Parts: sequence; C-alpha cells; structure tokens
Amino acid sequence: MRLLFINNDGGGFADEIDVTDGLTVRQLFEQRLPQGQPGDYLIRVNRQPTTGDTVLQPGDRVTITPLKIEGAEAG
Amino acid sequence: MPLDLRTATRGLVAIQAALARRVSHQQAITLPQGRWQRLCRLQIHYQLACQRGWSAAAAHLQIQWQQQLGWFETDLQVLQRRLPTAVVPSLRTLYDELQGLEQEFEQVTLDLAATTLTVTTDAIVLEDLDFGPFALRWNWERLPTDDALTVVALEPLRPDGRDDLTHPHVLDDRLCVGDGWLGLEAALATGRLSDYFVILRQVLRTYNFDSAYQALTHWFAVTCHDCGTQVTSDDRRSCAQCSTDLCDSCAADCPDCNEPHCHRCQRTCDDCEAAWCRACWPRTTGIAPEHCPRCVVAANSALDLEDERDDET
Repeated sequence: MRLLFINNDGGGFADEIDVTDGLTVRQLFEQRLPQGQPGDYLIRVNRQPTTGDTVLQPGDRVTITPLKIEGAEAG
Repeated sequence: MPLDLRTATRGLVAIQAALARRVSHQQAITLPQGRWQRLCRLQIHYQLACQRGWSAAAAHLQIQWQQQLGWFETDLQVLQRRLPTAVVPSLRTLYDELQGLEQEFEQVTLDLAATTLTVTTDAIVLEDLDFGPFALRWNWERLPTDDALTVVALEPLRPDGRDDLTHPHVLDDRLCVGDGWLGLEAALATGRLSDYFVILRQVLRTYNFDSAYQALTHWFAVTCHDCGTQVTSDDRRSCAQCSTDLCDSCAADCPDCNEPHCHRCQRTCDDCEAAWCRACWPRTTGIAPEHCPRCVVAANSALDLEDERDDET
C-alpha cells in the first residue's frame, strides 16, 4: 500500500512510499529513522496524535517532527 | 472555539491565492547574489587583515566568513528544493490543515481584514524559565517578503533592560528559526500549514545556547557600565549618583558616605588611592585639591603639629 511520509527533520521531505500491509507506526518509524528514538519526535497520522501500535491504512499521511529544533540568531 | 465555516472558507480561499502567488513568484529564480557578494567582500577584508598582520581582525573575519558560507549553502539548498516541489494546495487540503491546527493548538484565529492566521502556543518553558504563550501570527499577504511571520509573546518575560527580546531566539517579534528553516520552506511549498506551525512551536520549545540572542543564564543579567561584564540581577550594584548598573568589582564604595559609585562619579586620591564620590570630595580644602579630605585633614594636622613644635623652639 502507498502512504505519504513527511519527515520534518532537516529538509522536510515529503515522499509517497510503498509499505507492506499491516505495518504499524512503530515499525514505519524504525524503518525510516533507524537511528532515531520515537520519544524524540512528534508523530502524527493524518494530522492526529497516534500510538506506536496503530496499524497504518492506505493513503495515510504520516508526519514526523523532531521535538527539538534549534533556533539561532539572525544570520 | 472552532472557526466558523464561512470565515474559514473565505480565509482559506485567500490563503490559497497567496500560496499560488508565492509559487509563481518562485518560478522566477533569484540567485543568492547578495550573500555571494558579501562572501567576496569578507574574503578581501580577511586577506587584507592577514597581509597587515591584524590577527584579531583576521580571526573575527574568518568566523564571519564561515557563518556567511553556511548561510550561502542553506540559500542554495532552499533554492534547489523550492522549484520542483512548490505546488498550490487544494482548498480541501487547506481545510484539513486548518482542522489539524485546531487539534494541535488551543487557539486558532483567522482575521480576514488583517489577512492573518494566528495560532497560540501553550506556555513555552526553557530550563525552568516560563516565557508564557506565544502568538504565531502569519500574514499570508506578506508571503513574498521576509516578514510574513511575527512571533508575539503574550506574557513576555524580558531580560532586564531589553524590550526587544522575549525568547532566546526571538528579537523584535521575529523568530530566527535556525535548523527549522528548510522544514518550514518545504511545509509552505506544499501548503502544509499544520507542519509549518508545529515546526515553529518546536523551535520555540528548544533552547540553542550556542546561538541565542541572550543566554538563559544571563536572562536576568545586566551589563556593568564600567567594564562591560554581565552581572546577574542579584549581584548588580547601582551607582548612587547616576544609577548606572555596576558589577561588584567596579562599584567603589566611597569611604565617607559608603555608597557605591561608578568610575565617572568617583575621584581617586593621589595619596591614599581611595575612591571617593564627587559629592563627598568637595569638602576638601584648597590646600591639596588632588588629595582626598582625609589625607588633607591628616596633612593639616601634621602641619599644625610642625607649627606647634616651631613655636615651642
């Protein structure tokens, strides 16, 4: 099945990706951010808060946003 | 309270039109020539400083050059990402985005007259300092400019003497988004308003001590008028005469009135080197104006004693 995966970590890439049926949010996170800790991110499915056990559905939009995004002084 | 459908629809139509204008504006490629020219100028100044042996200036210019180079790199990345991805979102998508915002934030308002979409964050707390909630005010008509977004502290916690700072990364109601820039650009390019505001909120929730306008440790600090060091509010002293802020080392207590004074409001005795305030100093007699009253009294006593001895002999 296909879903929209948006990673707001860094460049904010939005990709349509193919995943296996029955994939959970946790499994998707582990696949896409193998070095990351889920607790360090806000994970939304179709703009709603979710749990790791949620089974993804075709056409879902999954957004991952880091909790910490460093601001700066004006450049 | 959720937005009424009529206001939401009218607002979203206006937002869609603004995003469409943004997309067409971005089709015209603007190369970061200004940044490049700044880099070239800095390089010339750096080489000049090296040739003349101005090592401190060279080191300073090198840091500036590296900063500008980093920004130039980001400019190019943004340019690269803008063109292929920028699309005009459908009204349905924008409506879903608005609903997403209402799920994520306590207050979302659309002001059609002011052409602004405003979301209010919860209280921003950084290292136990409560900066209160912030209103993220996005003016869709100002999208082509750099000032579409203002970040207004609703219960501002400002450092002493700084009316322009409300957060370590907010100066004059402008948030410097740092690492969030690319994500924000990508979110706007596809009309992902909920991501846009969530990224902004996460920037506000993050403290980057390496490049804050003012470090949290100095949030309630003041600058010593005499030596320029930062002093916490608890350690601050004030000149009794002109009320300027001073550090403990620079605040000289007058030996007569025992009040602290800044360098400008004090006078140092040539003899005993005690720092007297100018209010207490004029009691000096005219015999030795460069000496403090105590030294003058001591000198007078010595003279009197000498006179007495002369009289006796």
